[in-house]
Parts: sequence; structure tokens; C-alpha cells
Amino acid sequence: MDTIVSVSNLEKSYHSKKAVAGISFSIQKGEIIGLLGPNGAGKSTTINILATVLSPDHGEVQILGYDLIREAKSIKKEIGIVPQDIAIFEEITAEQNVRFFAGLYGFKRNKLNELVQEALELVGLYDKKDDKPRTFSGGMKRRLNIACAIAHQPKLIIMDEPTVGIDPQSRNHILNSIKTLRQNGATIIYSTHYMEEVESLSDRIMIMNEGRIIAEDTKENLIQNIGNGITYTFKINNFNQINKNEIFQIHGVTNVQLTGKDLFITSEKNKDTLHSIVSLLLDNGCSFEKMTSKEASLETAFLDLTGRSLRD
Amino acid sequence: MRFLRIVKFDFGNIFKNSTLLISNTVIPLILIGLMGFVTQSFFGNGIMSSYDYYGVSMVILSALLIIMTATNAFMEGRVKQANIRMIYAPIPKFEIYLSKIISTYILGTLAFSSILIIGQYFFYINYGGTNLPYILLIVNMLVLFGSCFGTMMCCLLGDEEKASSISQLPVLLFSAFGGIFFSVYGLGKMVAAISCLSPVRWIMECAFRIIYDNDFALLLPVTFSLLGASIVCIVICQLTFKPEEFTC
Amino acid sequence: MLSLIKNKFLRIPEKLHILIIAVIVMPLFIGAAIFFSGHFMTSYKIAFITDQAVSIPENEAMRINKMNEAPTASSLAMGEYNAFVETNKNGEFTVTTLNDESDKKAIQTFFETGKLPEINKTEQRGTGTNILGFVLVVALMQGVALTTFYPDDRNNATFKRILTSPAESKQYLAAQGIFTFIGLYVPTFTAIAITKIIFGAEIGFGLGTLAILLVILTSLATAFSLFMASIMNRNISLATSGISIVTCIMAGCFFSFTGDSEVLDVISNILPQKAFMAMSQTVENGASFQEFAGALSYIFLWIIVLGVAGNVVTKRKIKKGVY
Repeated sequence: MDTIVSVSNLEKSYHSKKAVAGISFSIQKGEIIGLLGPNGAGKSTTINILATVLSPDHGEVQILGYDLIREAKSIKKEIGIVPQDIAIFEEITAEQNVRFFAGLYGFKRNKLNELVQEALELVGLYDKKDDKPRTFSGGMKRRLNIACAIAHQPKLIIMDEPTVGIDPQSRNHILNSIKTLRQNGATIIYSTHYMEEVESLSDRIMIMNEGRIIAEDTKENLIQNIGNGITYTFKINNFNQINKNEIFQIHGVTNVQLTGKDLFITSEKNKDTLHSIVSLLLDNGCSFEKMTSKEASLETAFLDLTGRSLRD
Repeated sequence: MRFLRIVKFDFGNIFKNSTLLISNTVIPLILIGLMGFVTQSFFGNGIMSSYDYYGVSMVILSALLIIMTATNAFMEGRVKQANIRMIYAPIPKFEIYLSKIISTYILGTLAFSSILIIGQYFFYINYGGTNLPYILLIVNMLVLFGSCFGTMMCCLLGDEEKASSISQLPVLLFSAFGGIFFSVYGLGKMVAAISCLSPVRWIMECAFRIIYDNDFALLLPVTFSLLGASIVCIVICQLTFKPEEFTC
Repeated sequence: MLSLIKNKFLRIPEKLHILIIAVIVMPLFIGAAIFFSGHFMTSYKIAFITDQAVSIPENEAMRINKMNEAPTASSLAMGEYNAFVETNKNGEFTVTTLNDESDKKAIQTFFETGKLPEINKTEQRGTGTNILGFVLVVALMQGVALTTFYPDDRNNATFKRILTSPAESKQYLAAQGIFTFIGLYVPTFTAIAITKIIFGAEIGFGLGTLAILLVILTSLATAFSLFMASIMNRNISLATSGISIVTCIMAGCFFSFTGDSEVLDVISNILPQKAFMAMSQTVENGASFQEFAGALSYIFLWIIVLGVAGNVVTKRKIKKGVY
């Protein structure tokens, strides 16, 4: 397999805060990589560096064999960025938007016409090509946002939360478009807050937290390795009466996290730990309003790793 | 109480904008100083120096340009969304635009009153001596009118950029024909007659009459005309401001 | 590059209000200013206050209104009269004016002798230079309105998006500069040319010379607006107007002046507008290229410095992640 992206010891700080703290990873041709992480995890900084619009402080990045610093221009020709913001011109038509951005890559006349048409068809906006985006719904604008990034047929597409705040129909359209792009040979980095999108699209998932990659694997392996168990969630009224370490000492408990009033306890799947946990809580005078249990999933794995839910 | 809180919030927004602050405080003083300096050779040692002339005309021009502050306070990119958000709160729509008018007016009143007082007592510009309060009154009325006019333009056009660029035209026209930069009488009888249509001309004449002739004949007509024009602007604001149009 | 320029033109209809002002209204103002500057009266309007039957000498430079009572002082301030002349029983004349001493003496002499003395005013500036002084102020203020797409693109994240393509920030700025230049140059030149050709106004230069001087003037305004749009994030128009007016007054774009403040002289000599006004006057006087080569080089230096500074600031912002 060809390596499309190779990142080694990448670092970036804003003032004294490390936004990206020495991450390394590689992406192979044709992969869809899901990039997950809570807000402030360093996803956007990483994406901006890969998109060549932000200089790293340290580390090496190679994209399609080009060095990020020395050969940024060559990289730019081969990548397509779908920014988190809807970065389109509201004043001109959808077709003029796509034509403008594709034109920046040097395409002209017939080839340009062909690429513009293909991009608009892929996102399902060809019949709206002569309309101005101000008449579009949020979902249509997001689709145009994607069309502008892919018209020049980039080998690597980086999508930064491309489906934020849109209707289910547009979301399905976008997800299908991404699958088509991959079938056509593109490699895709997909950053999102929506777990189900990552689950349905990604070959591999990278989870970032506090500027580091804390896990990187297939969905199945992530769940297997990290979250293969049951997560119990207690809504606790008076947690200060119990020591977290005491819960850890229960045989089979693999993780304990507290977020606000929610106490998350992950236990190995086939161990009967629930009885011991409840007894310990009650013995220590803890009262709880509600208890739920959830089998291992990407979401519980994420929670297990970061101690936060995805949208925190 | 709630309305006061909105006014306080709006005033804070203007106060935090250094460009707006400078353009209402430092720039008028610089303009008076510069125009006075560069034209002093045209003026003799008579009753009025170049600084006296431009002290009046530049304050009037700058006070009229409070229109830009008003459009900015209402619909400048960064404050527009937060301002428009108020439509979701259970407050009548007049409180939204009226608070912009009042906060702009407060800033203008403080700024231009200070300039007049500093000008008269520290830079010895002739603002009428004991008649200064009347000049303060006219300038404050002009500031009120500018605040109302700028806000009205925002209500009509819904966009700061449009409102401020289009507002510049009447300001430029009224100023040029009002004798802000040079005497309109030098351009012949016809232009002098046209200048009667410029409110700036009447404000200038009113100020000069108070300062040099102790003549208050124009004071009430000018004051009430500006007040009346301000009320008309507010009525137009009420009729045309449709907050729901700004939500998308 | 061509795509970037074309993109600006495609977006014109949505910014019609600004363009109408820049392309139609401002040229109209310029045309009107030229028209009126040709009609500016150089004669004095005098209020002659006397209750005696005195014969008044006649001269077309003096428009004298005879009256019994002195008009108000504010009529001097408003410019309705340039001077009041009073006479006493001994036939002596007293002149009250806001004008300078040489004007006062001239009026006094006229009333005493019936003849108007030659007034040795400082060298008058040419009509063409006066016109270009006014155009320079308008161009500096309007340039930023025509550069509005650049801050718009930053606010709408389209600038950042463009940067992810092979187009570089300097290409973007160059495209914006070309757009601003065309938007300033074409209507301004057309307005002045029409005023000269159709209305026969005196503009002090041949059309060819005017075309070249306007290229320099417009380039300066373009570089300045790009610089301002690069360094500022908000209130660009307000700040640019303020700086333009203040520096143009200092540089003598409105009035030619000789002051006695060394500080102001030093500051105004640094300003490119001053060099432009000096160059324009030299050209209008029919001097050879050598005589204004220094001023021309100095203006070009400013254009380059402003352009490069705008580019460097933009690059720095991009490096910091501020687009």
C-alpha cells in the first residue's frame, strides 16, 4: 500500500499551550480515517497543518511524498480541504463557486466544465447550479462546501466536521458522496463529532485528546482493546462520600470516571461486578437516582479513553 | 431597569471599540488643529482666527459623522449577531434600536462636550465664552440627530456597510454646501442659495451668530428642527425595523 | 491569478451600493469639484458702511454694497462679506476683515486711492494640482471600499480556503490590488476627461499627462488600502478615512500652506501625498523629468513599502493561524 500521509513528532503550540503535542501517524492510500476528539483536542490544528495553512513548530510531515514545509505548493495541488466553516461565496452561483475554486488549480475550459459538473452531480446540486447559495438550506450549503473542495479531484481529502448542523437527508447524501470518493481512489481524513458517522465510514479511527493521539485502530479493535465490557452509569447525589480507588479495587472493574453527577464505571463483560459496585456505593452512604448500563461501543471506548463524552 | 441594562451593554460595546473612541475624541481635535494651522495664513488678526473657524466647522462635521458610530454600534459584524439576538428576549423591538441611539448619543455628548470645553478653556478657541452652553446645546442636538439618522439607515438597509457608505453622501453634500470646508459665498449667488437647503449651513450660521453677534434668533429653530428630524428618524426606525429579517 | 480577479468582478452585483458610490457618485463629485473650482470667485465682497454720499471707485475685483449699518460679525465668519469698510468724518477708512494683512491693506488702498495694488501672494498652485489634490483624498478614502472583498473573504473563511489551493496570499493580494486599481482609475480618469472634453473645464494637464499622474495616484491609493485592509480587522473604512483626511491636510492636498512648525514640516515631508503634490505642481509648470524624478522615486518607494508591508502582515497572520 502507498503511504499518503506520514506524520512524525508533530508539535504546535499557541503561546505556552501545546495544541498538538508530538503526534505521529501514517495514512495509506484509499483509507478513510476518522478523527475523533473532544473540543480543544487538537484536531483542527492538526488539520490546518496538513492543509498547509498553519506551520508546525516541530516534526516532519510528508503528504504524497512531498515535504510539508519545502514542497507545500505541490501538496496543495493534490489535496482538497472541506473546512468547518461554510467557506463559499454567497454572492455568486453554485456553479461559479465550484468553477472558481477548481480554477485555482489551473484547470481551464472543457476540463474545468467537466470537473465542475462532476462535483456538483456528486453532491446532488447540479440542478441548482445556477442558484446563489443564499437561497440554499444549511445542508445544501454544506454540500456545496464539499463540491468546492473536491472538484479538482484531489488525492487526499481532509474534511473538518462537514456535516455540522444539517438535515438527515443532506447528511446521508454527504456520507454517500464520501463513499463514492473513496471508490474513485481518494484518501480521506474525516473529523467529526458524530460517532455514528465515524462508525459507518472509517476504516481506522484516531482519537485525540489534549494534543495527543491516545488511540488509533479499527473500530472493532478499539472496542475490543479498550472498551470490551459494560459501562454502568450512576446518577449520584453525594459522590464525595466514596473514594474512587475503592471502586477500582472491585475485581473486574477496569475504569472509573466522574463527570458532574455522572459516575461511569466500566467492567469486564463476563464478571458479575454490578452487585459489588451497588453494595459499595450504598454501604458508603451514596444515594443515586438512576443507573443505566451500556455494552461496549465506540462511544463507551471514547469515554473510557478521554473521560469526556464527544461533545463536551 | 432592563432597558438601562441594554443601553449599558451597548455603550460598553462602543466604548470598547478603540477606532470609534478615537474618531469621536482625538480625530476632531486633530482636524481642528490641522485645519487651523494650514489655513492660518489666510486669516488676519481680526475677531476670528483660523482655529476659531475650523474649531466650529470641524466639530460640526465630526458631530455629524457620529452617524458612522451609530451604524457601527448597531450592525458591525461582531456586534450584529449579539444585538439581533435580543429579538428572542421578551422585549419590545423599540428597545433594541432605541438603546443604540441612546448609547451612541451618550458617547457623542460626552465626547463633543469635552472637546468644546477643552477647546474653549485650554486651546482658547472662541466657542462663545459665556455663550458656550448654547453651542453645547446645538452640538448635542446634532449628535442626537446623527445617532438617530445612523440607526435609521441601519433599519432601512439592514447592513452596516451599506448604511455607513450611503450615509456618507448626504454628510458630504450637506458639509460641502454648508460651508464646512470653505465659504459657499465664494461660489456665487446660486450656490449660496442652494446652501440654504443644507442643515449644516444653518447650524454653522446659528453657531457663528451666537458666538460673534450674541444673536440667538436661530437657536430655537435649529434646535427644534434637529429634534424634529430626530423624532422622524425614530418613527421611521419603528416602522421599518424588522428584527426577524436579521435572524438568518 | 485570472480566476482571482474574475471572482471579484463576478461578485460586483452584490456590492452594488459601494460600487455605485465609487464608480458613479465619487466621479460626479470630482466633476462637480472641477466645475466649481473654475467658478470660484476671486473678487472681494465688501460692505461699505457710510451715511454720507461718497463716490465709490469701481473695480471688478471689488463688489461693494453700500449700507448705513454694519452687517453682523457672523456674516464675515460665514463669508457673506470679506470685509466691512467704515468711513469717518475725516474721510478715513477703517477696514474690518478676517482675511490676512495683505488683503486688508489692498482693500484700504483701494478705498483711499481708487486703485487696487498688486498683491504679492505666495506662488499660487495650478488648477491641475488642486484638482489632483482633491482626487487624491477621494481615492485614498474610496480605495478601501473597493478593497472590501478582502476583509469579507477573511470573515467568511473563503480567504483561508483559497490559501489551501495553490494560490498564494501574495497572488490574492495582487488580484485584489488590480481590482481596486481598475475600480479607482477608470471612473476617476473618465470623470476628469469628460469634464475637460465635454464641459471644457480647465484641468491644468493634457489628457496623456493626466493619465500617467493618475496611474501614480491610484497606485498609491491601492497600496494604502491593501495595507490598511491587511493590518486591520474591523472599522477599516472609518480608520482609513480618518488617516487619509488628516495626512492629506498635512500634505497640503486641500490647501497649499507654509507653516512655521518644524515638527509638522518634518512629518508632512515624510508623507507621500506631499511628494505627489510637489511632483504634480512641477509637471504642471512644465518642468523636465529630472526635476521631479526624486519625488516620483519617493512615491514609488511608498507604494512598494505599503504593498510589501501588507503582504508581510498577511503572511504573519496566516502563520499565526489568523486568516
